[in-house]
Amino acid sequence: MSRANDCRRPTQDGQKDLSEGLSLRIRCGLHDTAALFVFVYAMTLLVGLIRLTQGEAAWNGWLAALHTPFSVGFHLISLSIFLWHIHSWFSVGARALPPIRLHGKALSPASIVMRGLVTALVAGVGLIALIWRAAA
Amino acid sequence: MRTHECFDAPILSGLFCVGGMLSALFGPALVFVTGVAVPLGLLLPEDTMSYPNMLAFIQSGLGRAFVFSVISLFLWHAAYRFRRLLNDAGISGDFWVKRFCYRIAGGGTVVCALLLLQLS
Repeated sequence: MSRANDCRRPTQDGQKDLSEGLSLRIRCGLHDTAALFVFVYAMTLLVGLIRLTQGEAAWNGWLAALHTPFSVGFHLISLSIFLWHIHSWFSVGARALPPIRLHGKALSPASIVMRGLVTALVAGVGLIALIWRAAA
Repeated sequence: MRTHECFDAPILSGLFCVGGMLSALFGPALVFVTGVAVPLGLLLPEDTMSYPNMLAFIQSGLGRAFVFSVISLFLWHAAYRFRRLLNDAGISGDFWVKRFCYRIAGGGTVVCALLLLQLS
């Protein structure tokens, strides 16, 4: 892992760096906590896969569990965390990546984040459109 | 021990990065479809995730690859961060923390692969 991406790296020097380091640690703590939702979502899908192997009745039981208010609430919270993850992922990436040059000009971190957000938007909408088309 | 760390660190970081990228690109859409749109009947047809549809999706090569990538890489991504979270929380003994986190991810990956093989 590069030093820029290492949340536990020591602050360089001075009080300003100390407060920036603390803020970075808090942000990294939030990233790490958000990963719990990624884990729970992956396990939810894995349970779904297990139920799929057990036949139609088991699968329908899993689908019924997804319809409960608790599940919908959990997925709404997860959705907001996944959306936040997009921004934080590309923000950290913009700091950690070596300089990216396009047409001879180095891209600014803000430009990298913006391009990442647009890519994520296209990928997400494209996936939903694909699912919609396949199911229609 | 040190040699082992040097060997697996790039692999674990690589899995973390690919999983993070996958969750950034497709995670929100997947959560929206499986956890919100289908249960609430928004946007998508009611039988989007019906048993025959999902079975047909899983039995296609692309569907199998997609499901395996999503589940396993999400788990590896989460394991990397969960290990760091536990370390930052002051839980001593990174050796056991690492084993705990990555064995869950590895176990999930193996189970996922076996289930997909069973369904193919």
